[in-house]
Amino acid sequence: MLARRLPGLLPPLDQDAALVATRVFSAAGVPVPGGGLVTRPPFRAPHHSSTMVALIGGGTAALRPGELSLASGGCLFLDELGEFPPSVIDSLRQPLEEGMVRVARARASVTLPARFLLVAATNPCPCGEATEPGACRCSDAARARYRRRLSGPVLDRFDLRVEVHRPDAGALLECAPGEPSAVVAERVQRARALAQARGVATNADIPAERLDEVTPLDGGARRMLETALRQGRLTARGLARVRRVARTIADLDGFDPEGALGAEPVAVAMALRSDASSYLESAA
Amino acid sequence: MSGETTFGADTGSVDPAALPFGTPAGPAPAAGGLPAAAWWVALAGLPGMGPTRLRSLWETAWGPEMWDTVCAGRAHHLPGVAATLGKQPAEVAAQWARAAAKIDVDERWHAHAAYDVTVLGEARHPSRLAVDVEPPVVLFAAGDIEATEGPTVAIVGTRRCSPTGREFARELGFACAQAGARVVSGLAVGIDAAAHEGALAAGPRAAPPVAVVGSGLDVIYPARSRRLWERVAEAGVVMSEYPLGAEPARWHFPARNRLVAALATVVVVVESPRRGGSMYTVDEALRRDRHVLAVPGSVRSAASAGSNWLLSQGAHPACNVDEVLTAVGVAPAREDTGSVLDPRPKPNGDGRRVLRALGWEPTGLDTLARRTGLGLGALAVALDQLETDGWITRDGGRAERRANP
Repeated sequence: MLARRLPGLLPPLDQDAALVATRVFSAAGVPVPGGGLVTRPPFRAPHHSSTMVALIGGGTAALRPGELSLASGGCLFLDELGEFPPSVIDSLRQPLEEGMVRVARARASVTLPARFLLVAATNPCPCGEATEPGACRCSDAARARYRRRLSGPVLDRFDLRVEVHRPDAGALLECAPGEPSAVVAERVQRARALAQARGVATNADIPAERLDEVTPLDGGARRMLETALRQGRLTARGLARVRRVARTIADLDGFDPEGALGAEPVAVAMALRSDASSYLESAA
Repeated sequence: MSGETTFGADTGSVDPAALPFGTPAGPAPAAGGLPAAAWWVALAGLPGMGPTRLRSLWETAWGPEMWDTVCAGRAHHLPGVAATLGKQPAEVAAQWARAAAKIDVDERWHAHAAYDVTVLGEARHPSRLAVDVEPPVVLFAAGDIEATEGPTVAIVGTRRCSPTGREFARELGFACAQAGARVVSGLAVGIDAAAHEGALAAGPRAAPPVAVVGSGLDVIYPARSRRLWERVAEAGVVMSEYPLGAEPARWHFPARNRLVAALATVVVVVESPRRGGSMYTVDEALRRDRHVLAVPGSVRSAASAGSNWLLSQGAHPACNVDEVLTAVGVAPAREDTGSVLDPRPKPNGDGRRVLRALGWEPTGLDTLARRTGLGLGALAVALDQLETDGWITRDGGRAERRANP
């Protein structure tokens, strides 16, 4: 439900992105909305039984773009990530890095666009109780299977990792109504404009070597990151990602887009990267 | 404290010196130049061989003779043995005969040369196990088997523990080892591992750790505990009833837990769900009249449901380390600085507020924001500082308090 709201928050596709999306839709034989141009960011949610070909593209008669390409410019949502076959999850890595899929078949080799926002949801283990100490009744083998699928390189590519707990009664009763999507969408649009002013489509595209120049850290933020690195709470690869996310948080919250990043957005960015070590890794 | 009580009618009378084999000096040479233990090692490796069956063999005849009987497929003709073989004793005996035909006793014995092997009746067999109601016939040990002699405390609990439980188990293991009580546990992940890590952290002059495992000593389970396993064997002892190569079968673990209970003078359950291995250890401990303590936990924590239930059934609460040490009968080593000289800097304004809102249960960001009224940014900064200073741990988006400022 949460993921389906996401395309509504994204700004409409610009001319280039709309053309890319429309071309992919046409090539895949997916109906294009009225007007003949895909202008809203697409939302694709393939089921976890989908094959690798359905996801990355291919086929025998004619090469069809897969779900990754169909989500170009929009959002690819993988529900129950832990249930996807490991080979399918692994096949996501290259497109995520490069923004395109290369499909080579006997007759032809094609490059398809695949620049999308990846959102995934999963239970921590087959029974879904592993986040509560002592509550999980899954076998060790089943937990190990989930752990293998959800740990390491794949999980590392997600910039935001949020553990969703069962809400307690107090929160359900007291919580104030959230902001309407339109207000949030406006904020997103503003943040996107700031990113474009930096010469990238989104802050996620800021190259690591330009981070210091584009978005320097202030003293407090630097100390915080140094401590986290020293204590092993943050990896070197995670560092650049945290800085990009922190920039976006600062942009969304209306901090000075030219100024140094403060401790607050950095702390929030780290908090949104929760590593659930206790049940994903081992307790030992 | 009744921990040292020796009882058990059927085996209480075993006097090592009075037995026909095994001498206090170690395994005596027997037929073919092999010690009697060699045949028990071979017999222990037969399919479907568990502690009860092995004991029935041991009570019936001595090693070489029993081996011949098994090889001939006649084990089910022995009345004491047949009773343990289930519904189809003849089939089990035939299966044993087939397996025994493929076993070279001599080779098997020499494969265990790197380990200490003791047989029930030998003087080196750990004394608490020798007089147990269900004594193990063979014990394989990596490390010093004498490490089991002296005051012991079993620290047990769930593999899927909370961070608080893990920390307390560690603290308990540290304090017990430092005070001279040997920490006995099963080397599982979670509470078991934390207790032994604590015991090892107490240094080489502290009491040696004792581990009982449910697989062969060369089958490290779980594999990720290899380092801990090796360190325990180095500083103390890792013991098993199963010969090399034995897989950690499900039914090995209750038997392993009985040995943990038998070795302990006091059993402390740090965290356990209502059902599970730790509750089995408690049953075995009560059967042996051992003192059982349970660490109280949050009523909302499934990991503490069993330990809290034990308290409601009359188990003594272990609210702090000293209560456990008193139960074991050792004096706390007064070297530790503990909370008196906590090196952690006192939390500041926001940090204090967050810590107060945190209580003693893992709490999510949204709940903390609601309870403290802080904005997400300020809350995240405060949590980061608390984590840096070691007041809280964070796991999967939830924060949990580690100590009281």
